[in-house]
Amino acid sequence: MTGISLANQGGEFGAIGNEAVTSDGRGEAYGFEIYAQQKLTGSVFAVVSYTFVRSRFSGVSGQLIPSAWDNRHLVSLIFGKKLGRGWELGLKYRYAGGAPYTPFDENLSRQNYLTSGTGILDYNQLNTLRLKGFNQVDLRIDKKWNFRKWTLDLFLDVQNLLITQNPAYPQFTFQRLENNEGFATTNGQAIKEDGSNAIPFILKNEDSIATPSIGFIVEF
Amino acid sequence: MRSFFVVITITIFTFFQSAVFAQVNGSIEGKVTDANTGQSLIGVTIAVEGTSYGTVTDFDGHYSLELPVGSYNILASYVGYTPVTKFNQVITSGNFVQLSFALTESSVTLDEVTVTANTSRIAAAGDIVTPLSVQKLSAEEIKSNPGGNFDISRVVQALPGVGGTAGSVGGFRNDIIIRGGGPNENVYYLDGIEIPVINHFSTQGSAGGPTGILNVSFIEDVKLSSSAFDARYDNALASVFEFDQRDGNSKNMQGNFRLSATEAALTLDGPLSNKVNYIVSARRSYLQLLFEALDLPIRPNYWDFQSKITWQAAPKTSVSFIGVGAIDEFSFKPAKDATAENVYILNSNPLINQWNYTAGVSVKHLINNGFINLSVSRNDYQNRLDKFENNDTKLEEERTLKTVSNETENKLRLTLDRYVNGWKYAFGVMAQQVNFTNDFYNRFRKELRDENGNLIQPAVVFDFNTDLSFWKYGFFGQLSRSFLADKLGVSLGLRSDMNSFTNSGNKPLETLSPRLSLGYRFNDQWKVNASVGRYFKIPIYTILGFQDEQGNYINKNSQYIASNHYVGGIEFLPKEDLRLTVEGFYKNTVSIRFLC
Repeated sequence: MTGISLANQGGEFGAIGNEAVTSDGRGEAYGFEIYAQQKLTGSVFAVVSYTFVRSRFSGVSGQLIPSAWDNRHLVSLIFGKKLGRGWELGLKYRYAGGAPYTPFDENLSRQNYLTSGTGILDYNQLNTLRLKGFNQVDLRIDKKWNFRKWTLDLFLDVQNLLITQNPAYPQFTFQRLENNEGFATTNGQAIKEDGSNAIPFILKNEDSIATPSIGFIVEF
Repeated sequence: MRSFFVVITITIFTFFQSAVFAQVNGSIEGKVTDANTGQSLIGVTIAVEGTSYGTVTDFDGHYSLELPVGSYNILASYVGYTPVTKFNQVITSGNFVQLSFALTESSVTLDEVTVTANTSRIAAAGDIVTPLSVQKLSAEEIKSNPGGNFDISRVVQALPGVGGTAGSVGGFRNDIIIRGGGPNENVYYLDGIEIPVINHFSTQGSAGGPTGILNVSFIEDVKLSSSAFDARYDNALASVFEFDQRDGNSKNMQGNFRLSATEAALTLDGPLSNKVNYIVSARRSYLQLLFEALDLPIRPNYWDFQSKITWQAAPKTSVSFIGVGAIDEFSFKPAKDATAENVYILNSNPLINQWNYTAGVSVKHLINNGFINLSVSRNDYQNRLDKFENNDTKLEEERTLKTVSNETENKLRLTLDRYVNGWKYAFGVMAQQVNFTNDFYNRFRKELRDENGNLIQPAVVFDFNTDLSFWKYGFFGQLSRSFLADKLGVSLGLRSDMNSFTNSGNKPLETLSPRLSLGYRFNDQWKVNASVGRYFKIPIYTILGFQDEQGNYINKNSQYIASNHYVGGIEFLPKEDLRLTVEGFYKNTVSIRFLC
């Protein structure tokens, strides 16, 4: 809705498109990658990868500005070791530099929050802010038992082992009452449709959750 | 009671110990073919590194080996061909491992071959068409990837040049961002048949979602090219994913069952006759239980199904039927505690209900020095979105979004690949019939008035019903050859794509898409590669099908999105199992921009 490039869209749920377009957007991406892969020898394998990437496209003014995926630095490390007796250990580390994001248009967001359920971005300041970098360590442990005719593999997979706090786009909402039974207002009255007596509240949306998954595979 | 536990413990202990002490075997089998012509290679030596196990391929190019369970590196070598090693093949007693090799003829003389025989260029993932910007993942690398959760879409995020989307990098969604391109700039092929949707709850017009659809039990390997695309693939701007599926077991029925905190999956495969085998699977998620336990107000729930039937119809003709599909249901259940976070989740997301499938048949017929491939497929994706001011009460007068949209494509691809006197060439045609419907309503802004009835904000509403039918068609050619005793590889490709809908759709010169790849090998360790190409993609259907208030397709004027790629890189293989690459890339695009 905004002069924004198609190349900048698609990271949210629902649908994109469904708007009028022109075919005069420009964009560019450049960078380099360094990659080293040690295939399995003996009991160890490893992957090291670093990417520098810039990704920009033309906004409303025709000037190139950073795209939503202009992370600049991407790092990934994978290490696997076969420990013997059917045990296997895997570790993965990923880093992504802070992604650009757009601040909210305070007035429009306040006016429309009750109908849209979301904030509205200030497209004049498209991608002018940056999130913090992303860091995550994942762990995988497997133990296999090979029987005569079948195999049992028990695994533990933990995403974000170190429970690092990872950035995400902030979310615009209104402050709730203490008992969470409705929205708080400046004058204590019922909330107005245009949100004029609401108290805007930004959710930082920074998760620090580890997601462990335990499971098994039976091959027969 | 206590002795009871002791007995149980001892029983379990002995049960598991028995597995450790007995010599237990598993099997590995596969086929070895010529990479350029597709013909079976007879008498190829298959060796298991570090052991005395080995065999040779039979008259059909097949081999089969029994090995003690464990992890192995397997080498295939043949006189006049570059040997290939495949690493970390995990042999278990439960399921056989299918491992196929495609060997490339080397034009150097026999003496030189002996000299370099132990330098199999394994670790190298590229070929003459795509010598750089290419990565391969084996099934084992996907299965054992930490944090990967058996999800191919997630595992690829650890490859170079690949990022996720901000806000949920690595967290919730697995959008694939390749070298700064958008998530809709990638294309996906399963055994040569395009699958437009690879994620559950996928964003229409884009590609990402929270979980991948493909079942890793089907996958033999995955190849990701982020530039120097083979001309046979249309619509790729940022990458091409090629998923190779294994065949079902040709000897007896087998299967596997996987259960984790979030899903259960069953895969079965085996022979139907001595010429036909199958592999089928079904999976169901239990995310809704997890979300309920966390008191989150959303209940996602999905199923997916996958199948492949392979039929050796004649000695030179093989037929495969593939199918993959998913059902994604979504509902809201207000959290017990209506915190700001929970209210946000409830009212910011649309209800997403989707299903999709791709079904196709692919016929490969060997001819003299090559093969012909004909594939016919159909894919259908339905996306239904509903959003209300309050997604709990779902009052129709408070509706802000409705989409009921269907994207159907019926496709035909015919290609010929040959290798004659050192020249490798391929050409082919593609035709697709597209149906796109979209019953769309979006109350983008609600009319707002102040206490005195003055207008603060007028309503902005988009409301249209699209029913589009059109054709897409294209052709390509790719020609490659090695020079200077195999040191220099050159590949030149050309394609063009057209359609019967957009205003400039029938101008083949506007989407003329040339590409050139060069690779020069100094010695067994060092290689430099470069590629330049111009690639095109038709705008997404939600853009083509957009109508203004008068019902005009105002985006009919839009043009194909164009991207020029310039890539250069160095590959260093200090040892046969160690690969180092450095690559630089520059891409510039002429894209679509949404109007203000």
